[in-house]
Amino acid sequence: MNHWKVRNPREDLSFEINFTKAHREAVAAYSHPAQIELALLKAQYPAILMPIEETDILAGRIQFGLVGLGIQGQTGGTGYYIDEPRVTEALEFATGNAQYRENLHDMLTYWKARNTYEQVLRNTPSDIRSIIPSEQWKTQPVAASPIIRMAGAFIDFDKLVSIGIPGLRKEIAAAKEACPDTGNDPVYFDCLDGALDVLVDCCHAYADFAIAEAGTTQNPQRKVEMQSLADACIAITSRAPSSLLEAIELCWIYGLMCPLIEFGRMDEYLGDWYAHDIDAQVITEEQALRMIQNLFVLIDSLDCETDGRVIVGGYGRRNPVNADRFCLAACEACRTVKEILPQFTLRFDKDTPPEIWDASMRCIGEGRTFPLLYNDEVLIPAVMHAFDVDRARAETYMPLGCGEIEFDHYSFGSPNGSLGTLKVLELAIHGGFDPVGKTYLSFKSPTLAECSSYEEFAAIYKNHLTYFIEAQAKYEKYLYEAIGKRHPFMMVSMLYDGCLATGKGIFDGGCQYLAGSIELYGNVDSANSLAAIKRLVFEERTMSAREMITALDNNFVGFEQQRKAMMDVPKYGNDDAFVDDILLDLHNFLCETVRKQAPKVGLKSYLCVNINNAQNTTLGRWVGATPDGRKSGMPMANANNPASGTDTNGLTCMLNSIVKLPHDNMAGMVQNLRFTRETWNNKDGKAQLLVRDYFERGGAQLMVTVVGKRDLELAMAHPEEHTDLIVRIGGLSARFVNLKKDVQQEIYDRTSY
Amino acid sequence: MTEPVIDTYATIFDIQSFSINDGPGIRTTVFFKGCPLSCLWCHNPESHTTGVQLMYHSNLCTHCMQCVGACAQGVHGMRDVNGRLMHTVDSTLCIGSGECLKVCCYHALSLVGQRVSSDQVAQRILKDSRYFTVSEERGGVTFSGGEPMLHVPFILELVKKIPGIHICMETSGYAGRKAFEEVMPVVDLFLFDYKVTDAELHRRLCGADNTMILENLEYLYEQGKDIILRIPLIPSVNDTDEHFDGIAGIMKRYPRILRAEIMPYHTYGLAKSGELGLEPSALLPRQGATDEMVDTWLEKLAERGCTKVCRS
Repeated sequence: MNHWKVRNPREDLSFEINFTKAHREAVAAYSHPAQIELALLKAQYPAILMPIEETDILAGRIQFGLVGLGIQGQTGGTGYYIDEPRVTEALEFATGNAQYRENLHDMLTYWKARNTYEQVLRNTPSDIRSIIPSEQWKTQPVAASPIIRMAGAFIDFDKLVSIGIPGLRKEIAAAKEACPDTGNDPVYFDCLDGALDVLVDCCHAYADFAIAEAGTTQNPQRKVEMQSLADACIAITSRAPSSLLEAIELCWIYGLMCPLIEFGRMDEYLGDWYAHDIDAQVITEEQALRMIQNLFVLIDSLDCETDGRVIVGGYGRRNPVNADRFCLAACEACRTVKEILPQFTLRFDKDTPPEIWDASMRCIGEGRTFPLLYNDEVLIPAVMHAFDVDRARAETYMPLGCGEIEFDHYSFGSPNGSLGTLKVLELAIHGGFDPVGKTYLSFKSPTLAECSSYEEFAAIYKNHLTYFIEAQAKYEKYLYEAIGKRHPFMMVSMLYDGCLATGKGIFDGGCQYLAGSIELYGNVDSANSLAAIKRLVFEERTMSAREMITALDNNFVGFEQQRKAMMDVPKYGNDDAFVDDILLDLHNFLCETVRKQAPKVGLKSYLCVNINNAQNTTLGRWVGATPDGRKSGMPMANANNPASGTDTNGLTCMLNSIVKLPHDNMAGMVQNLRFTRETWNNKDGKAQLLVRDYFERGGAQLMVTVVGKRDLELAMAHPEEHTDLIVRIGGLSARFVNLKKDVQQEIYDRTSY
Repeated sequence: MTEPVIDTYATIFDIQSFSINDGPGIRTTVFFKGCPLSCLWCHNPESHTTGVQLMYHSNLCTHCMQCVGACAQGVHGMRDVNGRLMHTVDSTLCIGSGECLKVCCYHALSLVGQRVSSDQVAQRILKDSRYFTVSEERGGVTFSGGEPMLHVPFILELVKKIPGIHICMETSGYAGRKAFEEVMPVVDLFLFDYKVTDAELHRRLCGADNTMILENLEYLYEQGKDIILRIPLIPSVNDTDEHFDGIAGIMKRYPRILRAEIMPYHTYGLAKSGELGLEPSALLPRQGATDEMVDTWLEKLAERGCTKVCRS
């Protein structure tokens, strides 16, 4: 559960009690999920909107409840959710009269089996559950884990800004009128229109907050600003936006109601108003920058560290000139708002203006870890192939969260499963048995010791991987259906292609390109381990399989020499063909096996992502010792970066290795590089030339942290003095001092150049 | 009948890719082992001897004592410190067998110095070749050390295997004339050290006087070679007015020298000495040169009319 950044958070749970009451009444009164959702939207908004804070010039603070309607974990939960531990805590420790406490008890029991998470989990078909039984990957050794969420809504902000609320109402009315011809249910459209009424209420609520702030401030300039803000919030209820401020507020307030944590192609949908207001001298560049800075602060206030994407640049924008002007201002906002959100993302191509590139490099050089760099020249052809779409569609690609690719307001590809490929290797070595949990997690198969060739063992390993991948694909499809049946997510659907035409919610047949993805963890360690098995056991025959397994089962205690031998086998990341080819083979096997599942389960695409948040560390905790010499419980390599400390041949060879993996059969892969400040800021810009070259030879993506190793040491020793130190983990940036110790150590152990 | 192919070998102690401070562009630097000088401040003390040396990285050691049993020479031992067994190392007993490395899983032990063939080094360099061309100013290979001029036959063999690649020689200048004559045609740029002006002080600080060095500098200059002067400055050791006069004098006498690069003292060498079991000189500062010191040095050189000078 997030901690929404609001100065004076609500303490009591009256909102949650009211929301529960509203749900009880709605399910008694209505049968259509859209009617129920509308009643709950009314209960949730504007109730959870929060006042404008002293440092804000925009309206838009929010505090989601411990019970409520969300779309994924970072918005409170998926669907109708309850934060049980915190409600229980409120019951155990909070004061309140007898009626209040009764209500809390009621709330807990009411939602226990009614919350969406629980319902989805409980109804998972048994053939899937038997293979992926637990979503508790943090506390249990699992090979594959379901993830319940609908992550990655990218709505059509550009349309919203262009036609405003009245325009949307018109479209809804037209669709409703056509119902006799289309056969769609008019009730659905009534509910959509009703949701817009709630949006209007929200605009008014924020206008009231602005007026209240104008009334209390002694600062005349702020009084004027707050009055204008109130005017803007009211204006957008009855017409399309006519200024940057109005456009920002409409998008932001609409987004809160989705609720949304991806902010899409901001330079495209705000660029025209940015340029207009400055050119018409409505506002100065400084004023516009302040607005963008405050918008970034609001995104950060959502505290959704793995998401909060703002994407700028790249091919396929409607208005590249204005968008680039906005992009430059956004780079400056990113440089100066020193928070971990938004995840500011630059898509670039050969025509990207040099000043945008330079501004980005400056931002990175100051240790911001942003922008994340996405190379359109490589990614667009790759995406066309992986998703089987045309170039125009590919140009609308959006990396969501940690970097899974979707298409702007067209596709949905929520990553709803993870696969720990190193854990699966551990199972394969032990014939399906998990030596950590002492139980069979996969089917029984010959152990490594029973294999007579490397090829035989590799085939068994791949069979185990396939076993989990097939279950995960079925789960993805099941999850969409289960959610689609319950939740129309009307605010998202209204601005997603296909939903108005079909009269259906996004996951209920509205979205025309329902896709999915599976997160992979541990590929690099698996390849290093396979290399050790291949070389030591089958090629050189200097270690028997039995000896290797015994060494692993004993976590190398008493088997140091065997461990050293395993460590000395070449490791990925050194431009060594022996092991790099093994990873390449594994990578392609995984990508193709995952990809093949889409038609089988009825998705438009199903692809793997090799992205990695901090789960390479968390999942690693439950994997025993592995043949790459990694000790039990230690972190796995992040994404397809070399395992920490194993890229001994230097940066050039590391880059030579990482460009070997193709991007055109998957939905996202990220690359971390860490430079010291001295290297990055080299007077001839040699590090940046290297980055350029990496992209020219096929590098798709890069995330650069510029920080000294000494800075990390100091921050570990004196966290209180280094709260501003931001590092890139995998799919997210984080304040270093807030990370768990083992994650800090894993980051520290990575190589800096 | 074809002649048997006999490769040339040398002992190196590192190959560093993405080297951005040892010549133009992005470079790969080959560090040769062995040096005829013994400069007090040397930041690569592991390069001094030609043989293989044991390095003990105490911060990585977990005191697992696996190495104790592996070493027949008794290099590795144990001692009791407040009831806890701690690893001890006596490098003087080491014969470089490498047996201890086979059991150390924590990278706490390493052998400095690897006998490599010119083929091996060439293959390694070629992996980096595309990076040499990414900057306008072409990168390439830098030979460093130790003193790379001790390895001219190896270098001549090696450069044949990496044709077209820009070659830098980072040298103290302390080598015979013949070696320079031989290597000169294959070297594009000399990074030539200028450490101490006074001959006697040079002898005391570096182990030999600088007469031969200055003669070689003059020779290379007269042969029209590209030269960058590299000037290590160690606070309170060689940052004297006399030395600044000397630097300015050299730059005036040899106007075609491309530039002088100041290499401010840092303390990495001290840590490495400890790991080698060596005692660094008491004369050496325990802290690196500060930015303010570098600015002062640059000012002093500017006062002496020395304009083509920068910080490395």
